[in-house]
Amino acid sequence: MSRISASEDQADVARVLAGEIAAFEGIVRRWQGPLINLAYRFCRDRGRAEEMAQEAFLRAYRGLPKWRGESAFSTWLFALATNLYRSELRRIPAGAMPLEDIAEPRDPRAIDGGLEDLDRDRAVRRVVDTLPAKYREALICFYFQEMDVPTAAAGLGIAEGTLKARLFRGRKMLESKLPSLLEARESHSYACPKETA
Amino acid sequence: MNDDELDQLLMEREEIVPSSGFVASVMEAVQQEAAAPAPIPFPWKWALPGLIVSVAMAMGMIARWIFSGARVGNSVGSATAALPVGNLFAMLPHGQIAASTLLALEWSALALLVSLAAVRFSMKIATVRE
Repeated sequence: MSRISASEDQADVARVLAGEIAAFEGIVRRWQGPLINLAYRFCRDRGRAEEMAQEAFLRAYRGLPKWRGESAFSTWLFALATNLYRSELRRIPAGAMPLEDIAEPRDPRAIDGGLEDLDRDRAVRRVVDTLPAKYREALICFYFQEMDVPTAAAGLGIAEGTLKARLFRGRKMLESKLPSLLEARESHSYACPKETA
Repeated sequence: MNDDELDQLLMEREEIVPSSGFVASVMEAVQQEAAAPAPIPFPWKWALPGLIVSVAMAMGMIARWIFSGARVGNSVGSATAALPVGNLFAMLPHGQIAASTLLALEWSALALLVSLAAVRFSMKIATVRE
């Protein structure tokens, strides 16, 4: 996140702590997208993702006095949200993703190949969902934070070494499962060509 | 499959847009939270004397167990007397109700402290998990 955002966060936090509750809106506006998308990565349900993100913002509001500025506001917020999402998913696990719940992508790809990509992404996500929680969470946070190990580790509240170990193990599990699944899908698509008429 | 291919597969391209009423919904919840009365703080001022007395009584009881246990253990040497419960019976003065009342109070103090410790511990765990 940019330096401007960090200073805006600090200013808004100071105003909220001084009693100006409306200043919290700035924080919500800046972070709603990332927090909802992170929740969506965990639960794969748009409605639930928004509910979890709202709860995360509420907890952030309650916990603002505890943020001492030792870490970036974004790091603190993501750690809080990640912790909440993990607890929520352990309490009520994410169900199978119904097709109608798949959100509209912000930047839809071209029609040619786009659907195949979407199909493949969905298959990959299903395999990721079969991993044990600690490996799945490590992979979700790592790729959500654009492969930034320190940020992902801070979000999960674990040491960087622990995260790397979980990523390594999780990726090994995926490597053993993905090729066969993707090959099966490709052979299936060759065997069942799309109707052209 | 190499690492780069796996990274490509795992990198999410899908991004969802928050619904239009999300900010308003969060701010409404925040306003409600702010308007709610602050939680009543624990009355340490009133609880502290009782807590100190409880701690003192519990410590006195434990100390008496240890000393009387050693004494009874030395003089009697029985297996029962070496146990804490056996020591309790051994140190009860026959026919003296005051002593048994004191013992009951000490047990109550100990139970109170154990309960308090259990509550504090569970609250600490709940806070960490949040």
